[in-house]
Amino acid sequence: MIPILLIMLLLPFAGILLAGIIDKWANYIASLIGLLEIVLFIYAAHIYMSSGPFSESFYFIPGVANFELIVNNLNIVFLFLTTIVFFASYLSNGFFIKEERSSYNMLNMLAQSTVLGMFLSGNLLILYLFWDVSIILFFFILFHFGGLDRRYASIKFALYSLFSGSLLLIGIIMIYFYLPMHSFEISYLMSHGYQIPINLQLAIFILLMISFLIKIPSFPLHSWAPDAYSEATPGGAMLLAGVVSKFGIYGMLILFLSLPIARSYSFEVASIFAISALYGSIVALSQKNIKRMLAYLSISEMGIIGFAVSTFNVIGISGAIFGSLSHALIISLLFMLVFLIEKVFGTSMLNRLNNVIVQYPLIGYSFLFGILATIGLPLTTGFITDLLVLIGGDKSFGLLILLPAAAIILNAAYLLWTYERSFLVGENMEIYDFVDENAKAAIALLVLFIIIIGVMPSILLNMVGTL
Amino acid sequence: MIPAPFILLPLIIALPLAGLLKNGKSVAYVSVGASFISLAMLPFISQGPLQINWFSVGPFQFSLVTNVSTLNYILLFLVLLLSPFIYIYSIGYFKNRVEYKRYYLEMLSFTTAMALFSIAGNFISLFVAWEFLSITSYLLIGFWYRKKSASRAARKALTIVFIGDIALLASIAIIWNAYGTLTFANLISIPKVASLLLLIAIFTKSAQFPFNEWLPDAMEGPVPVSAYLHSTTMVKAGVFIAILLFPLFARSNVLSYFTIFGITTASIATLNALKETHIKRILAYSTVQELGLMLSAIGIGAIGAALYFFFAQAFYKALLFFSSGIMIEANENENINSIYGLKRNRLIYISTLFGVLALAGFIPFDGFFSSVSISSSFSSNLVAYTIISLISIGTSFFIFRWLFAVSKDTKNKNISLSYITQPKSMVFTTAFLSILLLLASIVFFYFGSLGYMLSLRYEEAVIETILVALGFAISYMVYVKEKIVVSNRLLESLVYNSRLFNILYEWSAKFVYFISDGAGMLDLYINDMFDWLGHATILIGNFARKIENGDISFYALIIVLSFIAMSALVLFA
Repeated sequence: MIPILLIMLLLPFAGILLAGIIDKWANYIASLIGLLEIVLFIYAAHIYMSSGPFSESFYFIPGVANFELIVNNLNIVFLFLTTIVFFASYLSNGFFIKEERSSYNMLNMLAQSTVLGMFLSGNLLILYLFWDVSIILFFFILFHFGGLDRRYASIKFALYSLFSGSLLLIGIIMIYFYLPMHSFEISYLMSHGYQIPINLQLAIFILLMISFLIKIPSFPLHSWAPDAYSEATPGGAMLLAGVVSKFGIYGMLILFLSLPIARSYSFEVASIFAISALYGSIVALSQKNIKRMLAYLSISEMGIIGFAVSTFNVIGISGAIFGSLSHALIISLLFMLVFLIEKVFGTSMLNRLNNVIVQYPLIGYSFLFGILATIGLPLTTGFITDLLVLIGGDKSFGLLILLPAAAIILNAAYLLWTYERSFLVGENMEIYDFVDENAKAAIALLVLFIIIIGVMPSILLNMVGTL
Repeated sequence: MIPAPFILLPLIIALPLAGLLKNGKSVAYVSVGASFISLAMLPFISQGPLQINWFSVGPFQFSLVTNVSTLNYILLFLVLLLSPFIYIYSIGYFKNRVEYKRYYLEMLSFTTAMALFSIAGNFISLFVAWEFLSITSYLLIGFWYRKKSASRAARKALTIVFIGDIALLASIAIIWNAYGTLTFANLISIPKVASLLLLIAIFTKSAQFPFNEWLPDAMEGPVPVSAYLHSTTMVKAGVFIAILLFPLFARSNVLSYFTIFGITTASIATLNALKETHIKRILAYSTVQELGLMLSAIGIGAIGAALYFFFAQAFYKALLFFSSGIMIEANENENINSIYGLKRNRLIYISTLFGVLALAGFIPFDGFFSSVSISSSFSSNLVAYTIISLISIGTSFFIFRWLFAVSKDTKNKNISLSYITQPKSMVFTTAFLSILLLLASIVFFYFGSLGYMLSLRYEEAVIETILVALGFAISYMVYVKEKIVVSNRLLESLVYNSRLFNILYEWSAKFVYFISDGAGMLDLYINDMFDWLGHATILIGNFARKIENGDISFYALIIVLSFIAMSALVLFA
């Protein structure tokens, strides 16, 4: 039996070695690694579909934890979105990153390994290790390669994330000590979580929820996100908004399915997320910079997904998992496009951008597609997400769904307004750069997957199954 | 027999085909061909429901259901019958404009969406079609997006319609949770909240008060698009759903809203149309008014009358838009006061006259029967009946004003020449539509006398004729003989409330923006608060650093003091 999951985890290291040796081809190597990861994922998904969840266990810390990697119905979609978004970001790096290619791509590949490790890990200790290491890696991606205000943004990101990581660590240690068999294993936690004393469950729940709220990011702990997203590199923004924000959702899924206390506080959590969804869209409306607008859009959408997790029913949770994928694909497409716009036209400020669609139809039409997918065009992933989230939300919370529904409407309103002002009308602008094949391939990849999965959502929904 | 979804196939196949073609004209021909093939398939489609499983979540199955009942068939027939006309007309209309390809691609998707909508058998397929309609109409209204007003109108339309889309989605969620099914045939009743949300969806789509202003603005789109939008597609979708789901609305006691909002909208739209001078906007207000009348008829249970109107309105509205397109092209102007010489082209003039007479409700045109059937159904309610009678007079008044304005003569040779040299595809489709209108009128005449689905009473018919004639007479006196002078100021203050609505919208938009600005400030404060946490940490650090000053005697003092403090604690605790 080939340890496919371990290969998935270690493959980027081969890429790192190669990229270190052949400096010039660093980007091609990274793209190749990204492609191979998708192939490996498809193979793993094939095994999962034919013979159910499986795991690989390796010797790690005797008596405490094994190095266990798993594939089950919770993490498989997250693995999928990780491989896709990373591949797209590698492709786009070929266009965006012209200097220090090898070190940037090496950092990215390392990040892919840790992110995959985070989603693959079968016990909480390894999960925490990968969670924290990935923060450091993204800190360096931001700190060294980011935009003008990168120092401020990256340190803020690191402080927030490390704080969230430390809360996670405390929570994990508490879980370890109060589980009857003293175990870090996620499967054991999910089956025996109810045996933790109820007041300790509450403490763990609060600690972990704060940690996840920061990571998702959700109001009122979101203020690292707009800075980090808009100051990051294009690939960094795609990954932070598309993939890293899903850490919190994945953690919430595990938490909600293991601690019974979560069920009694689900309405409060749902309200926080519903408010966060509405808040994100209201703040986004008045933003002057499209990047920051997209950051708040992301906060709003993550609020909707978090809301779906807290519904606690099959449709809602399936909607959350599917929505994570949908959001990852769409927001990374939008972020990449806005960075392309910045590169091509020299600005991403709303009032300076004019008439993009005529001067650069590729960007204009792709951005329109991204907007329409965001607001839930049928046959894209956005529609399935909206449908499942609203059904699940109504099942658990009744008319509380009107808050996320209002957020969806507002998102549509300001995105269309932005599109009108900056993409459709006005004078022509100067063009500084031309989009090359790498970026085109990345756009095509994301658009293709948004449509394919939107038309055939059962591919993924069957993997999630009945939970 | 062909399964119902196959009727979409020619249109769907034509999409990539048209996309691949280079030559604009051939794109047009492919689209026209596809629309004809779909129309030809219509008689052979099989009745009854058909289910296609789409995806499942856990134990729950979501599927696309199509259904062909009489109602569905009527709408499908209208859509597919008028599509070839619109497509052929567009060939001429886009002759001097280069964007055949984009236009036909968007049109094909629009038709596909509308055809899917007409055979929708459950809420999932309904929503898919509904949302595609919204988005393709956005693309079509904003077709000339370089024009600021066009992109603005398109955005306004989609923003308002999207409110309804999400309301529809929310009501779908509620219905699903209440009954576990989304198929129309299996639903017996729906929760009241769901029906209210559906009501919002219908009102946004069919441009009813208070969402009535996007439709007149949508006149920024190309003429054939307006003709299509107003005759069979898009705005008719809302009314159609109201007819299709009538039993569900009836059981949740929301019908009176249809009547109240419908009549309000109809009155507002009629008032607006009286003073409007844009050739297409007058027709647009007339559409809003007609939709309001249909919905108000549905509200009192007069389904037959509404359906009658629904069918009749399609032909003359498309016809009037077609002829107004020709007038705009000939005069290169869209203001009725600057449009001249309709009589220069007799064929167009007579066709237009038929359309006008039908819209005003002259016997024996189909418009007459439909308005009589509407007003008859209100005969028991004196207030509503009075309002509808006034609306009848107003309709006849503004549409004859429209006709008198555009048919005034001109000495300008260029205009008369350009009437004659209009593309044949435009002229002949217009003429052919007027023949279709006459055919429909004949059919209606027989059905009317047979008392099919509704009862037309003679006294109602006489009253209607008098009202229409009255409107015509006033219009004639005011605008042709100029015997009666209407005080403009009075009219404007009373009538020109369209501006009022726009101000209302702008204010609400500004209000949201204001809140958003406030929230943006709040967000900065939250950010600052967390930044201050950082600063506070530095301050504490700076203070704590002073303790570590390297002075051994100071350390000794601390040690002694702490020792005393601890002993005190131990002793007293």
